[in-house]
Amino acid sequence: MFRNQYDQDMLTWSPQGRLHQVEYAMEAVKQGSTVVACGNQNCVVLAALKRKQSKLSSMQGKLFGVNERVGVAVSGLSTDSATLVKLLREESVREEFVFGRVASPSKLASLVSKSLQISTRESAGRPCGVGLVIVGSSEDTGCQILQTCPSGDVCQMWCTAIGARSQSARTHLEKHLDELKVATVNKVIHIALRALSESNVDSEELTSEACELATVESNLYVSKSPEEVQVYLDQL
Amino acid sequence: MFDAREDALAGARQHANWSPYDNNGGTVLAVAGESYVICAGDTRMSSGYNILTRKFEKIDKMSGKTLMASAGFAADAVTLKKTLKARCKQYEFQNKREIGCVAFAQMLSNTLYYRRFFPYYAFNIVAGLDAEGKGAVFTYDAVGSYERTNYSCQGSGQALIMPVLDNQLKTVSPLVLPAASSATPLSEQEAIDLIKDCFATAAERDIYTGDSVELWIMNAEGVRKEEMALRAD
Amino acid sequence: MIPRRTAHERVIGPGVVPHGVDPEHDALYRGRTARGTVTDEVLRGVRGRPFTIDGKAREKAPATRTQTPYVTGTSALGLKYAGGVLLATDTLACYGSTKRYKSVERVKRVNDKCAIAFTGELSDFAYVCDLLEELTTEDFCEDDGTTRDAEEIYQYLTRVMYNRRSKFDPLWNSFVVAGYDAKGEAFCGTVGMIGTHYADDHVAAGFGNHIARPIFREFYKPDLTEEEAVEIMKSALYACVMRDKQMMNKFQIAKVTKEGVSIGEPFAVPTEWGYEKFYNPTKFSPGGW
Repeated sequence: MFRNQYDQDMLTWSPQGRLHQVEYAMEAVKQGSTVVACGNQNCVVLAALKRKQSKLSSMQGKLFGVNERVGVAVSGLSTDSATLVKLLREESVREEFVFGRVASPSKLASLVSKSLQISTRESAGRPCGVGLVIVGSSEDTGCQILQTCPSGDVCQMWCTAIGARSQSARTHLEKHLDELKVATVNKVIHIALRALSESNVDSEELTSEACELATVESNLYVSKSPEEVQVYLDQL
Repeated sequence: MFDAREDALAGARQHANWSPYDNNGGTVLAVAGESYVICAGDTRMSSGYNILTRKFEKIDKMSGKTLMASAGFAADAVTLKKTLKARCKQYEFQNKREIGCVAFAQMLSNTLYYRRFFPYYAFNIVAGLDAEGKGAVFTYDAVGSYERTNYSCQGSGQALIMPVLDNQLKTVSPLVLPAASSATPLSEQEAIDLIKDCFATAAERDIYTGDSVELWIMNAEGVRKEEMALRAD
Repeated sequence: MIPRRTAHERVIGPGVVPHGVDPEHDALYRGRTARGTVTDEVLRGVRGRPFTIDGKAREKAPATRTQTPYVTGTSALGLKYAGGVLLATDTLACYGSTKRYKSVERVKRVNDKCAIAFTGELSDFAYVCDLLEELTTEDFCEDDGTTRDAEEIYQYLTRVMYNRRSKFDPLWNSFVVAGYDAKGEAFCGTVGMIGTHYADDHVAAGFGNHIARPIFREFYKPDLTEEEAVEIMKSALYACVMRDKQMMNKFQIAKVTKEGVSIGEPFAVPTEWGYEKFYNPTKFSPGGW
């Protein structure tokens, strides 16, 4: 099992200047099911594939509303993500209490980033094996997509995909990048679902049961019901 | 006259000229019907003989089926509402559904009693639709005693309005068997007219009530607002 | 050497402990006198000893100097007009009734979207400025293209003021907050010492609430031009300086527009004290003397 002798804890650098524990955590993100986010200044769409533990269990949700205009999708260790989602929600409630305004996606992302980064520096603990895609909007910036990874890096993206087989989704999004910049919300949903189906297991159709969808438009985060998702899937 | 020496002996007098409380006045009122509830409040904010502003809204939507109105010390009322809103959100995150008005009513009581010895100087009414869709009104004192009723009025105009409501809306006692509905028999429109009359009347005699009255009307379709001008003097 | 006792009773204050207050010390003192035993009679009222205040005893008592205002500014005014919001104050900070500091800028630019003016304690305002500075720095470091707008600053100040009153340690200030809200609309609000807050088309903190507000109420309309608004503001300042003894005839008007905050140069308004009633104030008031 040993890959090398520098990966036993987070405090040991490899001679190449790498932190293997953190890199392993990044790998955990790739084990999670796919999350796709894309959009433009006016609207963004978040789409995700859900999984279930076994045929007897229910689907595990991957999209979480943080406040009325910010939502987050997670990929990786789901229990780690629960802590981070809780952190986001609590900060959001606090911000609203103090400033009378819901927290902006960028503020929330940098908060998560700080928390993730700290866990890569302390011997007691481990990095969170989870990637977050935070979508939302603020008056000053319009709609935003922000992606975090276990190292604490935050990137603002035009569009992104994380999780298992996300490369094919990214390729699809790259192809439609120009189109996305001027697309209406329906068009963006269309592209997002197409990208998501690229990442789906071969020969399987997307179903409304296994698929989650949310949009941010005119400063409002809306999570779509399975019925609504089905309507969009039928249009593909 | 205050004696500096005596004061010093008693432990220095700390706050020469301030009180943590103020009374910003205002009247709030709610009426519950069989399938609706109306919550109303005037929009004046006063301090002593000053009118601070004529457009201070005393009513807030706390969750899908719950409205809350408060008179009294505005800073306390606003803080109380903010605290409760934050807790409603947390409730929603934890339970994956919005808080109902009956649960909210209990939470408000708990929150008020928590500050029993430094109370929120706010006089509150909670209005909402209960699990069966019936109108519900909860009326409070400043330290959390509360009761579910079908109508109530609080704040500076209480003494003027409450007798009118008693006269117009008093229904069968809850002790009578077989139980009769305690909701007011008025139709929604009749109740709206009654409330407007009440505020117009209170504004005639109470200097802390006036400028305008806002009515939030909640029924199965949702919430809508009406506003009526009152005396501005 | 005679050990020097310290006073644990803070009400005695620094000074001299007379003979008879501290028998233990008196006994020691008598025992060590070079001329031998001195009777109580001789000592009484003649010899005292200096003492120092025990730091520990002081710590136990809460500091009270922060709980009454010392150096204060009076009214602050705010008025919306079609293209922005005006803020006005005089430049005086009083020490009680003394016109102590006459060139104090009582307006602070928070950021491009917001400026505040204060009434009340100068040093508490300096503290609030520090808090706001901290917020602005945080905002700058975040570097996410967003700025706290006037309404957020107003809400934040409300929380600060309310929390401090809840600790029974209030900041002795009221604020007028002017600027733009998130929707890009002009915002004008005020926050009081105990957290009372409201937003309106025109506001006044302090004594100006009695004097300037009626003028604003009479002349305000939503489509005021900047010139008209400045005129109204000047007449309000004139009314204030004529009737408020804490007000000085040296004013500053600041404006917040879409372009940002600009704080104007100090100016004076022409005043007229030659009214007959000022010479003879009770001439026409029956019962006056």
